Amino acid sequence: MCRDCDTIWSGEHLCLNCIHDRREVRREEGFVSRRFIYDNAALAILAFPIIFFYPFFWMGVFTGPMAVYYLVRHRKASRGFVPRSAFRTVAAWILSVATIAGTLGTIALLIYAIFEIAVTNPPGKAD
Amino acid sequence: MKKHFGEYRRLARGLYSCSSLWAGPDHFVYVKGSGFLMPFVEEYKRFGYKDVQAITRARSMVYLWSSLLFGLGAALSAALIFLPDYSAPVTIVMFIFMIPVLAVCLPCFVVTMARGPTCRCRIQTAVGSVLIRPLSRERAAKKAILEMSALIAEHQADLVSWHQVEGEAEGRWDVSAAETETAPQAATPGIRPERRMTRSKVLVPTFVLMLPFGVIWLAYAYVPVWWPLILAGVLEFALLLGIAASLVEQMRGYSPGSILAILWAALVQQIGLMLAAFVVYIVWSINNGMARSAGGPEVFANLLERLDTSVFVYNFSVINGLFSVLLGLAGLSQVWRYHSRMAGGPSPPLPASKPVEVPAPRAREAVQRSEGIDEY
Repeated sequence: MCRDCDTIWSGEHLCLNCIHDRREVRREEGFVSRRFIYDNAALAILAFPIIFFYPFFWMGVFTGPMAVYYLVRHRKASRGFVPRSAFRTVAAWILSVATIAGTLGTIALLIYAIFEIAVTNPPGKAD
Repeated sequence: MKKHFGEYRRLARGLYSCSSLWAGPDHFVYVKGSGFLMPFVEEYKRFGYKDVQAITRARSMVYLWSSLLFGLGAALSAALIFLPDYSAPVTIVMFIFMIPVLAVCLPCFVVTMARGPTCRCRIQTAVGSVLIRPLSRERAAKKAILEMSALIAEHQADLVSWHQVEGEAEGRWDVSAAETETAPQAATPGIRPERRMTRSKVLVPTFVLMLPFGVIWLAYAYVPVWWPLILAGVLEFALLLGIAASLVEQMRGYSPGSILAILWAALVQQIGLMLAAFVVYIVWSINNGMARSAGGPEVFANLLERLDTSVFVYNFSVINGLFSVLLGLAGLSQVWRYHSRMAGGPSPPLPASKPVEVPAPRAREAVQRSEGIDEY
């Protein structure tokens, strides 16, 4: 390896191809330059509509499954540069299950109410 | 957020811990987080200690504008909440909408004033310069920069400087000892010592005068007796002179940005008060028949008469009084803080770097490098 290609990274002598491989392909800790924090994103997707846009609680039918997808698909992803506990992941799981259950329950209740009204007062029935 | 883990030690942390700066074994790591209340994406920039050319720190105006904004918001919302007539519908509406505003503005104002002046810091390398967001407050930034400078000085102590390379290229092999004997050693490389504030005999009395002035206006809101306003008028003239003199003195020399900001805010307040007094005089003159004219002044007077004057006067007194008291206290606290910091003396010097003795083979390599000779 020539002097121009030699790069010292954390005490190791690496060439540019190795740096690219470790950073982009293998995504090794200590070489990655950018990372998406999936547990934070899942928690935000679930919590922010409830906190800031509570009239839009029905969006839980979309945000719940999206959060579950993030949590399942990227369950082994790194939680960031600074080591953290799994508290946010657990909180996101609990909130996602509650959101999906709550939204489905509300929809079921609405369907039941409409059905009841239709049975009690069928169209064409004389008052 | 953790303060240290593995080989890394935290130097600074940003708002909501989105961004942070860490010191590692041989490099800094700047974690730049992007998100809302928590980071969704993190970007990492690493700076080797040997690659850092400079760390710059520059004051910013964020402190001035944010403290003005939050202070005015808190004062206005507090005044509008504590209206005298709670039975009026507009009062109840104000009460409901202004409480969240006060709940946001007051803590933000207190936190902004407590954390102190803002700044922008950059790390410069051969590639470019990067803004370090966690170093946004001067106090934290100074402390972090001192630590960073010590680490960089330790790792760059064995680097060959350009004047040594040039000296060796001219055939002076033992240039390092001679150069370092005569070269001046910076006490704190890259850090300028704090400047002394311009001495003023008017500044502290001006801030002290703001306190009784504000108290008189606050008292007038609840006990509307006219004679204290005469004393307030006298104080206002004295304040105007004091503020103008202090501003001229401080702007001629050096003054902390916070003190200048408080003086400017006080000046705007006093000018606003004088304008308000002028308007009230016109209205009073028109209503008392001393001046009769059709058109603008009479229409304006009629408009003012339709307002609930007790509410208007109450709000005006409370806002004015609160603002004056807050400005006076803020000014005195900033002057005391600055003087107590300067009384502690300037920053201690960092240990001077050891003189570098360049052995012959390395010097030969330096000559070859300077002459463009490639050994490989």
